[in-house]
Amino acid sequence: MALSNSASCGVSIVQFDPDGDVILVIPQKRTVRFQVNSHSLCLASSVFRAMLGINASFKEGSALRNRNASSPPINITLEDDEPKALAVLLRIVHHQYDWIPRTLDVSQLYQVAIVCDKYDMRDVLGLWLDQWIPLATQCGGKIVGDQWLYIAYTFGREALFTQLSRDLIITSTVDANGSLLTPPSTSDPAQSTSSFNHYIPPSILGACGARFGFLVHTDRLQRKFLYGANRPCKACLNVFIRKSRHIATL
Amino acid sequence: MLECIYQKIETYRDPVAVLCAYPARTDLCDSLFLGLLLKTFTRHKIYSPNISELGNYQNSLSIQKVKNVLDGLQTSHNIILHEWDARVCSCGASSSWPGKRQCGSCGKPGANHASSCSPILKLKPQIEVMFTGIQGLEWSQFVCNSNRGATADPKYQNLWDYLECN
Repeated sequence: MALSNSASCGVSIVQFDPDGDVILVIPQKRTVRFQVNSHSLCLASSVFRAMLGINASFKEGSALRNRNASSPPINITLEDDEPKALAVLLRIVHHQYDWIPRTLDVSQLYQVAIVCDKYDMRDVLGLWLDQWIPLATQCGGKIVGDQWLYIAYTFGREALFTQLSRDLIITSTVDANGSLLTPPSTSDPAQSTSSFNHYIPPSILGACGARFGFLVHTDRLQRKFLYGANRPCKACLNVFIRKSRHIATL
Repeated sequence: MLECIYQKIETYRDPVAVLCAYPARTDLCDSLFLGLLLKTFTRHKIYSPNISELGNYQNSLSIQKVKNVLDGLQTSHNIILHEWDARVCSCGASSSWPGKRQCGSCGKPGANHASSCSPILKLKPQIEVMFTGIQGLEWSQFVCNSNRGATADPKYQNLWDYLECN
């Protein structure tokens, strides 16, 4: 096992299972390869199960089924994955617990969350999540609120998710199309707002936008300003009648 | 939230509405507070008399900003309008005599409209209630259940005795 040679040391292949039947290839400046066990991946991830499982219709699954004991591992290229984050998950999947970091900073958590969400591996993390994100976690640090929201969503931190989504609802603005925009940076207020983290499901942003819209929505009142200005309402008429009576008694 | 503010402005703009709590100086009192609302919210781009601008303003507003503006909104503690002249007493807070209905400085009869008529007194708690009532999203509404084959949520099981996994 070549665990001592991590991806960060510039080694091109990391053997999570020396007898592994799959090599995950991650093209980077220097391509990283992870030799892994397909059965472990299938148990850990519904995405890998769909790709490599016994009933998989993907070409990777077929290639795996046609493979015999003497065949070399099959290569699967994973585009755009952060190798260090994926390596953490693979270490858990392959029971190499001594090699799992005891703490992760928020940017590392964010990277793990992206990979975890992509391959549907949240359940694999189990108690490691309690280690990395204690329940009393306060948000902060270098990454912005919507990234924290994504972490809370992916890792199922319900209270944190509720708190962060509320923060976004009250601090966000909308663009001309009604799409929610991130709040301006507090450290650099001159920095313009931008669209949200594209990993956050649109349904979440839509729900935040709907609550924001509900609170600032003024269409009904604008209509009243536009079309109802000359039409006295019932309350106005009552005041008018009361005033008239008052004047009449003088 | 904005509707609440606009509603208040609209109420004060109404030429026939009487909002002042005292009968003697109603127009002066209402005009004073209408001016306060218009100037403050227009300055902070929360409100505009120009309807076409309102939409643009709303796009640049956050709920927190509206709340902050309201929190920072203050009127004088003493707005004493005398009953027979149009002078607004600018006495200090110490010369206000609550309940006396006269100016603490000059002794002329007049009511302190700041403590009874100011729309800010009602607007702030209304916005506060809305603000504290804003709730975040429920995580359970958005989670995708991974198809792991379990028939029950392990959180609710006695896992020592639980031998079924499917």
